[in-house]
Amino acid sequence: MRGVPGYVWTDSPLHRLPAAAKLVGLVVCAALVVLASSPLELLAAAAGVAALVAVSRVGWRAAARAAWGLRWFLLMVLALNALLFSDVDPLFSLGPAHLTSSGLAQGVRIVVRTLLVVVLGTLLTATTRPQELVAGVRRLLRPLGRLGLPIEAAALAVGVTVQFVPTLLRESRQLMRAQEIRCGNVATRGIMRRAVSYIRLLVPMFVSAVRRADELSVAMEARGYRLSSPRGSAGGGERRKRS
Amino acid sequence: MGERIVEARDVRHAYVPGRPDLRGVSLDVAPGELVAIVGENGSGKTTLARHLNALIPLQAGELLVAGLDAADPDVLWELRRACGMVFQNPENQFVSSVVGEDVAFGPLNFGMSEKDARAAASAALGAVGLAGFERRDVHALSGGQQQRVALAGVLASGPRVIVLDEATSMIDPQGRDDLVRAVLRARAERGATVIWITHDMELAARADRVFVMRAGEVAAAGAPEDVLVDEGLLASAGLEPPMAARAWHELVRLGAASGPAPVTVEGLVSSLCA
Ligand SMILES: Nc1ncnc2c1ncn2[C@@H]1O[C@H](COP(=O)(O)OP(=O)(O)OP(=O)(O)O)[C@@H](O)[C@H]1O
Ligand SMILES: [Mg+2]
Repeated sequence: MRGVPGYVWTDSPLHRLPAAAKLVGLVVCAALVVLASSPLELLAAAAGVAALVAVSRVGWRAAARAAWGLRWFLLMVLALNALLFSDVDPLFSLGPAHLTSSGLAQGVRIVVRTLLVVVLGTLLTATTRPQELVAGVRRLLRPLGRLGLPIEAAALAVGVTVQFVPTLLRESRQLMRAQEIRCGNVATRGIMRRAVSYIRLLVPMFVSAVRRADELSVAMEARGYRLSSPRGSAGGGERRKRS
Repeated sequence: MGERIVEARDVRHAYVPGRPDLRGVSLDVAPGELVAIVGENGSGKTTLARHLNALIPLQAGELLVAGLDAADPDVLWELRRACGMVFQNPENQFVSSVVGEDVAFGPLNFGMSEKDARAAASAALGAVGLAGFERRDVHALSGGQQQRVALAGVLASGPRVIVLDEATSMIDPQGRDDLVRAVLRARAERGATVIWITHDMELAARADRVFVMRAGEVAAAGAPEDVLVDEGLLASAGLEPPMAARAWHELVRLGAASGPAPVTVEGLVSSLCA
């Protein structure tokens, strides 16, 4: 199960923080990271994320695991940006592709931002148990519930997604291996072919995810889960009572 | 038969109108009984199982589980608490990747406090031989352990009936044996009734009673020694007798044995040595 962020059992200020606060924090930090564009800003963002990792006590390896799993994807993003972002003043050209310094800079920017956001997400799941997370989403969305929005369904969607990430990651690796057996090793082929083979994985992955989600919803119902009147936090089930 | 914990009368169901999947199923199960339901793919086993805890609303017929009417929406949650289900694919029934959190899910839904739910979860994990697994990641467990976590998730709510729908079909023999042991233990200690849906005839041979489903009907019901030795009946339901019975039939054909066929390996050995 390498490459999967999971809850890390330890105690830290981040572990103790309520899930709702961490969710808000994640959104704010991710926004800051995405807004960072100059090298100095990116460096500051990276330092901030590193500080959070240190505070969380989950360990550098655990924090970097998911990001490491994305290395090929990120490399591809870097290459595509470097080659296709611009055609002004190329360092090197080959057909429609032009390696430019502005493209390279853009690629680095995107890769660093993605990496930092992934690490932030990993920190959230490493310091928050899945059901805490669901409760956090439920709590944040509660005001919207008064407007009649299906907050329980939204909280559930978050829970299901978090729960299925490891399974789907493993499944994608299996599908990739199956594809390698049929069509040769993906890793030895060009970057575009690689991209195509990633996209070809999406359809079976999607079908499987829908089936899994369907089975899970049945299993949850069987265990007394009710979408219509959720339990919420202790006694929260009553909050919808009107009059 | 005296008291009954499951009582189905002429239960009918069609997913698509005009194309029935259950054509009038009647069955009775006594408290504490271990029954197996066998039948080929598509014979309606899962559809029947899902009726038992009201995952599928009753269309026609009568169904009482633990004295609760499956057609009564007011007792739906009580019914689901009384009748727990373990499904085929362990990975698709977890709500949390943290074992203790997952096992506490049912009890919390059924209104237990956090503290009681956690205690119930720990007790249930102990009952399935996974004491101290509360903090483990479910994805890091073997398939057999995952199914025992799922069983603990059901046991934690204190059900009177446990339905297992092909719960062993995706796990290895060792995992299967561990799960069977955990289920038998829950039955012995808690007096739970077990309804085991399976394609595994060796497992069915260990039940008190076997129901054979064929095309949405109960084609036969009775003790394994009576039902699982009937090659013609089983063949019509797309099944074969357990290994011991097949071996016995072969011996009878060769003139090396006579008398009623055994259904388990132990039975075969004692019949041969008799
Ligand atoms: N959700 C559904 N919608 C429509 N038809 C369904 C649905 N689920 C099952 N069926 C149909 O109902 C019939 C009985 O299916 P069921 O799943 O109960 O069989 P089963 O005995 O459990 O089979 P298996 O051994 O494959 O699990 C089958 O013909 C099946 O195609
Ligand atoms: Mg089935």
